[in-house]
Amino acid sequence: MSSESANKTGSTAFTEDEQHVAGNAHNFFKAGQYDATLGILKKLQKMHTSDPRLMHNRALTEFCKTHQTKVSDFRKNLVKIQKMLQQSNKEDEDIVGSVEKNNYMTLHYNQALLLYNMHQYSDTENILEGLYENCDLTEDGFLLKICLLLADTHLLVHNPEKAGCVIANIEKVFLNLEEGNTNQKGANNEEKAKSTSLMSAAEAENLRLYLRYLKSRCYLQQKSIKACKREIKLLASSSASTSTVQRSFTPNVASVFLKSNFEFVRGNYHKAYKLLGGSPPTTTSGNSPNTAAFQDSVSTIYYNNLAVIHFNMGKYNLGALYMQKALHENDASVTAAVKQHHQTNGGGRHQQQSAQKSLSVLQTNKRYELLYNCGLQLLHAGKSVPAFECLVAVVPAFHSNPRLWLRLAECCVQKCTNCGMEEESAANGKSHKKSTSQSQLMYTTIGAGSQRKVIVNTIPTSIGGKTSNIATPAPTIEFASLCLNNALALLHQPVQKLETILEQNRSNGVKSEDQKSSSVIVQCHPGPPLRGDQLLHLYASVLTNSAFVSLQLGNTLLALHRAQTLLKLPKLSGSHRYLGNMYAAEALVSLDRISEAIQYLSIDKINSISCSLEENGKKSPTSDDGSQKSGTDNSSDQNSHKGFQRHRDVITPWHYPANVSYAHAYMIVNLSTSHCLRSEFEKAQRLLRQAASLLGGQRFPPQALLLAVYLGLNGGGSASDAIQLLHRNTLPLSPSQQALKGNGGLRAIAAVAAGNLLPNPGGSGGDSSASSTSSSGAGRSKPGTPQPGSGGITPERTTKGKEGKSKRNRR
Amino acid sequence: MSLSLKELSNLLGFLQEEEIVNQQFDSFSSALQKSGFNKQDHFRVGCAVVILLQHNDLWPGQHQRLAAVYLLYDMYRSEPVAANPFSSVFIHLLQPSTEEKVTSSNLTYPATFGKILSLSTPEKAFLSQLIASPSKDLLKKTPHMVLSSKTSEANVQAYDVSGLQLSMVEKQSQLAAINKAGISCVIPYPDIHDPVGNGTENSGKPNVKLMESLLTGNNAPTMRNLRPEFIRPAPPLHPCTDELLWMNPTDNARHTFAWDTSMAENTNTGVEVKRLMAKAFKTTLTVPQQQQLLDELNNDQKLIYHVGLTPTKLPDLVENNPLVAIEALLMLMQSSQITEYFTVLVNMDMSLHSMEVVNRLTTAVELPTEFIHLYISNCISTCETIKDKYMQNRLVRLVCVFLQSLIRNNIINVKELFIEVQAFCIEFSRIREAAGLFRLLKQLDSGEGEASRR
Repeated sequence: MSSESANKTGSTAFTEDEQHVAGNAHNFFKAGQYDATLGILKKLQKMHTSDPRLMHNRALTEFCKTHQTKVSDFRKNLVKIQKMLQQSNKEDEDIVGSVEKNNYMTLHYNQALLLYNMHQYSDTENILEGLYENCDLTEDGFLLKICLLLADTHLLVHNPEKAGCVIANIEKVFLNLEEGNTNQKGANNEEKAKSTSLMSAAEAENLRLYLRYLKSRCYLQQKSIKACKREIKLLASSSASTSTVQRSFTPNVASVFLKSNFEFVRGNYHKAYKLLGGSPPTTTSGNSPNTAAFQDSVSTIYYNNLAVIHFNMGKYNLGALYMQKALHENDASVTAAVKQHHQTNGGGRHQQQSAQKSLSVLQTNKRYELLYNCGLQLLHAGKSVPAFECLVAVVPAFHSNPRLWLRLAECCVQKCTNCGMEEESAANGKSHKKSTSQSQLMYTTIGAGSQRKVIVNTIPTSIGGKTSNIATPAPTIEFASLCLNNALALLHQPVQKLETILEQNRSNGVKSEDQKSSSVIVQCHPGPPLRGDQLLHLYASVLTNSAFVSLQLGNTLLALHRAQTLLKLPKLSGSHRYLGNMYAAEALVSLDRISEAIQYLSIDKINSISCSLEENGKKSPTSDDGSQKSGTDNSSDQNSHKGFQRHRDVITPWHYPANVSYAHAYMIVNLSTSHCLRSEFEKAQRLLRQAASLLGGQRFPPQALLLAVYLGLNGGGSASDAIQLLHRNTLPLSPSQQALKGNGGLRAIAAVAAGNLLPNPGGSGGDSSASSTSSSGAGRSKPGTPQPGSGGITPERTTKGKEGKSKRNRR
Repeated sequence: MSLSLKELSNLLGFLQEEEIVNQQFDSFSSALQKSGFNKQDHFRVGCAVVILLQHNDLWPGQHQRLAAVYLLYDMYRSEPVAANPFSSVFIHLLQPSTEEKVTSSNLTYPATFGKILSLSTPEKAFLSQLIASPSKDLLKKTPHMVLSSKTSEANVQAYDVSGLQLSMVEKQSQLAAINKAGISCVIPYPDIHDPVGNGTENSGKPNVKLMESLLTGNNAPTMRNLRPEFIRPAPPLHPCTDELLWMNPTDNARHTFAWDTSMAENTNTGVEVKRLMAKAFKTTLTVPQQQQLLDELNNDQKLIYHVGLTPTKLPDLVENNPLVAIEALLMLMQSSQITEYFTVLVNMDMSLHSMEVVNRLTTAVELPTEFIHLYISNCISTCETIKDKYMQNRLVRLVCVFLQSLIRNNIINVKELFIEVQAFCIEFSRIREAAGLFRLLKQLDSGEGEASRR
């Protein structure tokens, strides 16, 4: 053997004696006698000071000796060895780089496994893919290890296509699967003999089982139902027959989860729930230590999956509860593992080391993933602040996930838009000793006698907090803008790439989804990656939120820019199109470009306000007159929003319209506002009335009433008209109501106030309410006369009456 | 922005009817300062005063009103009237009284509410003089003197407000419409059924409590304004499809750290071989290098499987180092992947080197016949399609020599390829080697014929 080249890596050739000793070391290592191993390695190192393999094995032994607790030391050692290798190969690196990598495969594999255990899956994937591509697959036990780890990693980063390839390769090389065999060369027979000698039958069976498990997870991620069904069936049947296999990978538990996952993917949430059962599954074969370690995380996983199922059934609060349980289980399992470690280590020698968590604990700790899930549940349940806290805790782990940043911003927006109202009502409660229902009335009365005043409750214009430091994470609108900027920075480049591809496709006349557009991928650990339409959709959501937040912060120019970028996207959901137009118009009005703004406010462009991209093409009927008709027609639209809508209070100034005709009404109100600002009061009045008819007798946004009051005060009406509107808490509807103006005077107001207290016999709409008020105005003005000091009417009773009315209207 | 409780009481104390009646106007500013208001407070004071003026029911005394109007002027006396933030009040007050219904623009106070009671003639005269040319004498007066002076309507030289109005419009034109649109959100709503407030509070005196609730506090009604607001629906949550993570158990015990079994194995030779092989894919090796590589490979029969020679890399090796390629292929004959190597070899671009490799292979081992046939037809079609005449001649000669050697060594059965090869020879009959091959074919054919006849 040539020894002159051996000097290159700084070591001399090994004598035969030394080789023998090295073999012994391996045997000691396998037997777990790490002290003996270490002794041999130290002796060997005296002769070969800088042999990388020796160093590697020594680091490994030391790591194992500490029960895999000194993770950072091991990691440092491995990096040191790797750097040393790189340095010795500085010359002609381009040629040799890949060769060298394969030469020290074990080193790189161990590095990858370390990273895998530390949840750094993309780095793991990178290293392993390098190894995988450069090695020719042979039936080597070590290569099998690499492949299995790679397959697992691919699955964890939601890359089922690649995982599938690796699994297929493993099957081909290591198991010589019967199906692919028949048409291949006869050489396979030889191989078969070889492979059986390499692996015992039990091992092969175990591997086959595991591959099946991997494959079904793969199909589940690809959502290929048919293939998955077959695979799960096979898995279930084979696991039943091989329960005797030693060191079996608890197939029963796994198959329970898989079956449930399968039903979950198919959308049968109840079935998935039933399959999971009422309590966390327990392993049947608890004799081997591996299954014990495995079981620890099972209850965590169980509660997590239960929570996910409930989330998809729309039961966010229940889901959040289960999520808490999962987190609790996770913490319990981690502390239990640490404790167990204490016990096994026993002696005082390891006392200070055991404070560090061992590697297996690191791997099973799913805290960040659970927190992410939990944050989403809480957000949807409307608990913005706890959700925010969960998600902020996740940021260090998944900071490159644009979805996470969007969700954080959503927490802020939800908190701020809801809490604005809460604060106000609280303030009202203090100063006027009135219940929270008062906040629904848009005025307060102070003073008495001739000095009585009505004060219009305006909407607080800026809801931004007064925090001095934006960078400290708190659910404020300022922090939301920070989050959204992060999301935009993450999404900007891939979206541009995608847009150019889509543009090319359009010019080339390619219609369907092609490979190219799905080649733009944005990783979103821990969730599945984004591509194609989903990516655009997320980008649109980020832009929408950013426009909203900019408007809230008074940054109108940025808001306009965001809204315009949004509207230029090639694919838009109805909701985004609607909001984009609304925001752009508002920004333009703030910039005093009212005539431009008016162009954005045309309801013809809006035929859907659904959040999903798919329903984009579906046209919802648009009716300008009959609100009842459109109400029934848009019921499907309404349903699709139910899940996302339920937590938002309808009366908050920021609530999202429930259906298309509401959306139109809002837009018309904004149009009316624009005209009002140009002092085109008559047009504004007319538009407002149109909006009111679209809204029917239903709840209306406070802005609309305030606009009506404003028009009453400023646009040529009289103050008494305005007060009348405030009292009635309805929008001016039909000419019949305007007849009331004739009565004029304040006596009519009192009558109207009284009229609202009466049971309303009529059906729906403004006409009936008008008739009832006019009738009561004739007969009951005396008994309805408000007592002095009570502020004209008693608001509690009034609102009750209103609620009753609206309930009737719904029927 | 609003006044504190103390400030309000100070202000009201300062403007009390009894106090103010006989106070000279030029003593106002010092008195104001004494009440604890500095320059920076003036705007807030002015705002409060305007509110009080708008709601004349809060402010019974006539002298008070005059004093308040003067105060608005006085606080900004050092600046021109047009720069006074409350100049719109003056414009409103000085407008000819016939123009009762002011509805023209957003700027003026709506006729129906919040209107300041129009001034009496002496007051108007006073204000006009004040704005036009304030004289010392004028400031020596007291509110009582002004109100009691008898000036008839005709005597008043009405101050022309149009100039002032113009400058104000100019100033406001720079503002966005939405910023100019605000109006007060306090609407007077007298209770006609109980005009005296049921005696609970003395309506004769200014209702301090009411004023407090109007003027003080963080969110004082007077500090808010009513203006048309856009409906700004908050974006709904981004739809959450498969964003939540479903977990499946992973068998982590399966993945264990590995011991580097190649430790102390003197694998450095392997390294060197791999390096040489990697180089051989890129450049032609020197003779000693080639020799070293081949020696190492011959020493260890298994080594060839671990030097990174994959089927995809084979063409590179053939082009750069045909000799190494031949030896390597010979060593790989036992491999299960040999057919893949052959397929690659057949399908690679035809060249001298590849032909040499195939030729040497044919003599050394028995190759599958379909492989050779495929290679030959590949060669022929390459010759036919190539455009470059010189290269074509070269290649044709090569193919002919190659075929002759194959035939002579009885490696191929000519019969199976007879027609194809014959056509090839005829097409390129201008080339000497092709003619030779043709002759050889004929010879064989006749020889065979003779043999069969026998």
